[in-house]
Amino acid sequence: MNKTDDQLIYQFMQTNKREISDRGFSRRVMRRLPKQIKSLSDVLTPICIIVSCILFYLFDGISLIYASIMPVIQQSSVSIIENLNFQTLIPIAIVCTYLGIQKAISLSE
Amino acid sequence: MSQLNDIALVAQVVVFGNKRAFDTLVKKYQSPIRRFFLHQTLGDESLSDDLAQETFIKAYTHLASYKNLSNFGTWLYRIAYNVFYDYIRTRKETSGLEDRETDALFQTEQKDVGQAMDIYRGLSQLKEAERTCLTLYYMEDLSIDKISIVTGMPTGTIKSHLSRGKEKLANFLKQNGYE
Repeated sequence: MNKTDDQLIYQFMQTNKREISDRGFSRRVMRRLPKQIKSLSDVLTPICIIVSCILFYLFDGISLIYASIMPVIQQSSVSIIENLNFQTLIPIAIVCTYLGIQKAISLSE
Repeated sequence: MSQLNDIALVAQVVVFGNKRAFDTLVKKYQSPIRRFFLHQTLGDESLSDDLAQETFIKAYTHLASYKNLSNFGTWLYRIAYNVFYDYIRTRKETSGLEDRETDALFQTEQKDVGQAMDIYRGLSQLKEAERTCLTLYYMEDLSIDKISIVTGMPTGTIKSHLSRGKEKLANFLKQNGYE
């Protein structure tokens, strides 16, 4: 095989090489794709959930959560009571009383 | 860079089932894959599009098995090659046609589009394996090693197909005024 033949064929092939425009081809392919392939996340999600539940149970997760949440709740409730300004409750009490009376009247009618 | 993009897109499809990422891959590779089929079928556009669609659907359903040992384009060509040869096999089984008869059948289905006709006439002089090797090498610029990955043939066999194919095609071109 001499070099001229090689060049002749290469030139002929490259001259006839053309880009094919999509013209809806990819849309047709996407329409024909199967509804769902099993993606890795579909498999990993249930595995992770199961592993998390087991670890939560083994390390006594409920006690840990209780131990970390209770001090926060206790501390905040104490600080609310300590810093409570009773004057701000008066308008709220008036509004609630007014609404309660209205409701009682509407029920009696 | 392009190879990295392909890997990122494949990962998005495999891990998150992201169809948009696959759409990007289809848009990127539709032209070379359809062109590959167009040359194997000697210009039968509708058949080429059907086979190309089948190729992308197979690629989508088997994307998790893409191991990144070759680049994504080479992997797609391998699927396309298998799709085409499966098609040829089933067609021959049902019709009992030989290579030359199959080629002639394809030729009657193609459109006469001037110069484009010459390449299909030229390629019709070749056996299927020669045509595949020649188009992948000269048209799609694949190296002999990559053609070996695509076709599963040893490199020595590919070189033989290329040599015989080149001789036949060069003779055809010279006879038809290409110098």
